[in-house]
Parts: sequence; C-alpha cells; structure tokens
Amino acid sequence: MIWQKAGRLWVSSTSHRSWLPLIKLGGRGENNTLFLHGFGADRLSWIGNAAALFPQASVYAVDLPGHGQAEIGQEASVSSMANAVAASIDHHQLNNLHLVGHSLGGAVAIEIAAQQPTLANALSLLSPAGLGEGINRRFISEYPKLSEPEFVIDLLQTLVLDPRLISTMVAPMVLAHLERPGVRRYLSSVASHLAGLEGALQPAIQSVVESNIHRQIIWGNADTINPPDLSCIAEFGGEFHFLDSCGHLPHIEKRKTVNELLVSFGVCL
Amino acid sequence: MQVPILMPDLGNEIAEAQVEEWLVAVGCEVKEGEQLLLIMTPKAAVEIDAPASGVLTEISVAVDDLAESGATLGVIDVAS
Repeated sequence: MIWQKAGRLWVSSTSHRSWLPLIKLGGRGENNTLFLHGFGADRLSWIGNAAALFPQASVYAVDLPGHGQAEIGQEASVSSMANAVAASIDHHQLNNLHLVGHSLGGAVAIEIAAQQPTLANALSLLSPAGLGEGINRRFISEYPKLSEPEFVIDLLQTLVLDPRLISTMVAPMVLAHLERPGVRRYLSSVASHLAGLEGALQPAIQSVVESNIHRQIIWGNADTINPPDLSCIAEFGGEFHFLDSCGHLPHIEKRKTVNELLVSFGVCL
Repeated sequence: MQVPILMPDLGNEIAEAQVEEWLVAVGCEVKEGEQLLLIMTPKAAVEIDAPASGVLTEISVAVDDLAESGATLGVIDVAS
C-alpha cells in the first residue's frame, strides 16, 4: 500500500505495521542512489554527501524502523528492516540502484542484495555491521539509555577521531527521539540483535559473495566501534578502501574522499 | 579575481546551517582544497574546503551565525 503525503512516498511493509519514509534529497536522472544510515542515526546524517551525487543520480534516503520519523518495527532484526526497505524500493520503482549503507545500514544493504539480487546494481558499504569484528557493546547498549545531553555528546564522540565533528546541536534531538513511545525499548532490541549479527548475517554475506553485484567497502583505520575483520572483508570481495585517521563515521570524517569514491563507483551503473 | 566560498547544497530537507568554526583568519594564504571552516547541521558536521588558492580577504558569516545553501560565507582573493 502506498500513501502520498507532503511530497513523500510512504510505503506499508508486510513485515512491519510501520510506514517507511523514502525521501528524495535531490538530483535527477535514471540512476538512483539510496542512503541507509547507521544505528541511532537517521536520513539527515548524509547531509554532507548527498549533493556530491546529485549530478549523476536521483538521491534518496530512508529512515530505518525506529529511527528518524519512521515508526518502530515489530521485529528488531536486520532482515525485517531489509524487507521494509526493499518494499519501499520496489514500490518506488528505483532502478539502476546504488545502495550506500553505513554500519547497521550496511548490514541492511547486504541483506537486501541477498534477498532480492536484482534490486540493486551496486553496494557501497561504510564500516558495515556483519563484516567487522563485532559492534562495540558499550556503545549500542548505552545509546538507548541516554538521558543527559553531556552523556550524549560523550558517547557520540567515541564514533570519531575529531570530537569537533559531533555537533552539540545533536544532543536535544537524540534525547527527544529517545523519548518517543517505544523507541528506547526498540533500539535496545536492535542492539541485542546487532550483538550477534556476525553469525546471523553469514548466509546473506555468502549470497552476495556468490553474486556479480559491484561492491566496495570503505572503512576507517581507527574505527573502535566496529573494527574491520580483514579476512572477512577479503572473502567478501570487491574494492576495499582503508582510510587513514578515520573512525566509525567515514562519510563525515573523510567526507571528500568518501564522496569521490561514491561518485566514481556510481559511474559503473 | 575574487572567488566566493559558498555554503554547499544541503539537499531538500535542510535549508541552512550554522558556522561552527573558522579554521583560517582573514589575511592568511590558503590553498585550494584546504579546510577553511566547519559548519554544523542538527545531525552532522561538514568541513568546507577552499575553492581556490589565494588570500582569505573576507569572512561574511561569523561563528554561530546561520547561512542558507548557496550563501557566500567568505571571499578568497586569487592573484591573477
């Protein structure tokens, strides 16, 4: 079922009662790029990246269930999130699709590519969950419990090498979001799911390994939230870009480099 | 020749951002691609690079002030 409101397309997923917003950030043309954010973030976290792709594609972002403006999901699993996003892609008829996923969003992109191999032509995975040594338990368990602005900033600054990159403006927005009914409990469930993701995502990873989908992985060499598993990455295949002096948010910390990689990779569509 | 430093396109959903910090003072030489300032949106920080090499002759938007996409944030004087 599709619902059009305020210029946005809202799609009802069969695996969630929630409505997933699929929002066009800009750009034009027959090629499409869809950004999938990480745990606790939302579609606005791509603000420094989207415009770089406007000349070559129509650029969209989605709020994953329980994030941004999206309703919480019935299930807190990567596969259920992938179902919901895939339904949005399908209904919006996004062809020639380049999926760009960060962390949790990277795992969702892998799951989408495994579930529906014809849906996306290319994957760009930034510090993807499932291909690392494991998501930092402290970060994902403490995030849903945050209640004080200074602790929000302290925790989010562990994501990056340069603490200036975490806006003080983000604290009230994070806390307001966490106060929405059911969000803390849902994100805690997502955190529990992420804690065991490396094994759960193996079938999807194997499907992508055996496919012909174009793929690149971008990772910061100082990522303490989801350190890369280099043997797993080698087995996954595709291009691998290891960025110096970069933590868990390469799209923010090394924006220019990441944008160049996304643009050059998108040309292969 | 004077080259403006412009607020980047922030997409359809965010119209303006706040200048957090200027990393270079007026009168300093800058190189193309060098980081000049940091802007903040409610969700992410974005570093703005010098669009050309020259001398930073003007800061048009001060720290803590807001500017819209496409606004001139400062000016670089490029020796011809």
